[in-house]
Amino acid sequence: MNKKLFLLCILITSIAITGCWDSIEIDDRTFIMALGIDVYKPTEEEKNIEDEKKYLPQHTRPPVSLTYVASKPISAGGEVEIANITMSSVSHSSFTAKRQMISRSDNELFLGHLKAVVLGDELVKNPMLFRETMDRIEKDPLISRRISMAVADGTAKEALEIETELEKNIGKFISSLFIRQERSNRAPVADAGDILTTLHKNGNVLIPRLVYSDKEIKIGGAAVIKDYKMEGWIGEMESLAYMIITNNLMTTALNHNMDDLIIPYTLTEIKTNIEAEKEGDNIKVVLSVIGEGDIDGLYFNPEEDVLDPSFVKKVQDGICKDIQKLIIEAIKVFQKDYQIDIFQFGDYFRKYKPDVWRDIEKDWEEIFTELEVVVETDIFMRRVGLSR
Amino acid sequence: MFSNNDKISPSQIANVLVLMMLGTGILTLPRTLTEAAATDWWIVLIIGGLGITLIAIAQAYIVKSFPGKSYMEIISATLSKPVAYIYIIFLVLFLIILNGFLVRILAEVVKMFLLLATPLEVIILSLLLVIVYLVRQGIEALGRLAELLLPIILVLSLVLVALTIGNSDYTNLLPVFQISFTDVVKALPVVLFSFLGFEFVLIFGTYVNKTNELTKYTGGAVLVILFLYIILNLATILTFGTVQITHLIWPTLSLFKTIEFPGLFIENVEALVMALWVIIVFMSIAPVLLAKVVLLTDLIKGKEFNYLALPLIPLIYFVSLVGDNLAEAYMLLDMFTLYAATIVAFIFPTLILIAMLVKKKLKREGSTSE
Repeated sequence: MNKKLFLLCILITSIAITGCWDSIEIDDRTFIMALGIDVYKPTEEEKNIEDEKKYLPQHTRPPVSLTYVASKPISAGGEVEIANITMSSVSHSSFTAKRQMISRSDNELFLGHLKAVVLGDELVKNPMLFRETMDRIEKDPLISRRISMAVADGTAKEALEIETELEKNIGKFISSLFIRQERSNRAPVADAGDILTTLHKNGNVLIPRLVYSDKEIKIGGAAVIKDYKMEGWIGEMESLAYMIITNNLMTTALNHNMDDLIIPYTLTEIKTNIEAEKEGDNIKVVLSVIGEGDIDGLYFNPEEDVLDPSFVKKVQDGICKDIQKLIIEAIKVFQKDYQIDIFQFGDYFRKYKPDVWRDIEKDWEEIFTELEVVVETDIFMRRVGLSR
Repeated sequence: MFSNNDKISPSQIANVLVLMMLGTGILTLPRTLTEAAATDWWIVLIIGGLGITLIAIAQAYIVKSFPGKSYMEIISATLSKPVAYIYIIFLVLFLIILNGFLVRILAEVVKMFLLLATPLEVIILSLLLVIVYLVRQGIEALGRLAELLLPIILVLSLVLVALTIGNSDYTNLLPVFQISFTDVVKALPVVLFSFLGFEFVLIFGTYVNKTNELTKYTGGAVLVILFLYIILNLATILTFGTVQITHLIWPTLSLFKTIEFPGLFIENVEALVMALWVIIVFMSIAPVLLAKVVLLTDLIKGKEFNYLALPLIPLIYFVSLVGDNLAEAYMLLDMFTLYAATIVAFIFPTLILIAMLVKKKLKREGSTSE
């Protein structure tokens, strides 16, 4: 009996003390909501400080500067106010910066609730730094694969230090910007998991662009990554076309220009089917875009009748041409300027035409730039509003 | 009176076997399978799974033919006594090493996701002590625990998998039927090793009270695992695609990292997943220790076995710390399963089966000639 009791004691203590090494009280944790990663650029002043010299480039690659944004509730006279706390640290790798940061903070920095990662455009232009950063995000057991990612047009530090007026918590603000993007589609919305998956395929991906001013942040356009290196930006319209082609578009509002009239319309549903065929040496991709939407407005007391089917037909045909032009031009940008198959046409061949893919896989990059792409659009305007 | 008669029902042993098999393959199977067979993983998985079902049924048949006999007695009866002694010693060593590796991998995962600052040794030891506590009570407690835990594990994992459907891409399953016959054969070992654990029916079979139903339940256990593996692989491939999977060390765990609850009351389900995973691995390690204890008792012809459980712990502990790092531990485990597990799970049981059938035939011929 005594022996059993003894064993039980050992068991209970060994189980009970196991957690001790890792116990951190919740108010000792600082929850990082957003993370900004930049290439470190010392200011003139810093360059002259002897101490700071050790942070200056010793390797061929520059050190990185990390910006952590944590929101901390501060109770002032019973009212709880959320303050954004930003901290920055310089390191030779984005992996070690967190360790360095801990020595400057009274709390444990906790990345488990991270919402957004913003990369400075300078960093994305350096392939090695970019790959390091992406690897960190993929390797970290705490960081979720569903966080939002964006490339700042400028530095991530500046972008994250902005005090937005609508929502004080910047991490939450950026990630909800992404959710709202699904309704306007001016940037190729993807979470970190999607970006990593695409990047694994061939090193090419689009990452949404974050533009900031004094008081505002917006997501629009995208950074084009080719071979883990940022090659340039694409605008909002190219992003829109990309979303249509990759079948990610939910809804969007556009204007159609018809005989000096500006007709605003909303696309409520749009689907793209890819068909590809190979005849001899000629490879052809056919995109058929089918969608529907509403005409939002015309002008007061119009001469045209919106209930006249032939008028609606005319608008419809015009919109079809608009969308067709939009898509063809976006494809041209990637075929001629960037020469990367960002639309994953290659993936289509791999999945649906594996026999053809085996022949063309090797030269796909070249073939893509010369690829014949036919776009067929079929868009219906279903509703016209309340007045005629 | 009847509280500990050391008998379990066929359904209980099926539960034990399901949990054992689950623990070995669940973490890495999606990666190794995709590496070996790309989008045609399901062909390989189904062929391999059905093959294992047949092998498991054959092994259960061996046990059925010797009702109430222990593994050592079965070997003595078919392949002579010296072979039995040598093989059981080999088997015990095999199980100690296997146990060590399983514990190590569990501890590494727990350390990475949950207890970042806790020393690996403490995680391993505290787990082993809990296992000893269970094993000292024998097969009956184990069977009951397995029966209790399996439904919980099944329901929870299916719910978790269902939550990942939201961001799946069905074109990730294409193209199909691209694999050649030789590639299927080459990829089969990956599947076979992920089902390891079924061979324990040979060791635990002696405790089953209705031996005539054993074949049915053993085959059923393998089919349940096949079903679970198909669901799990499907979910991982749909979410990640074949390229991304090969870059993930534990695709199954990464899969659950993609789940996000919109309601935010529980943001990451990792804690839930880890709890589930600890239970699964606990239930795949405990039977291995029990098997060792049972075999050792047979070897020294002891009556009670519970005092043997604790002295084995230091051995397992040292084996578990053999690899200097995760990469080495995995490499050693792979080599170990390739050679030793093939003997234990496939070659030796086949020898027993052949010897058994030959003896039966000789006996029949003997009786007809009389």
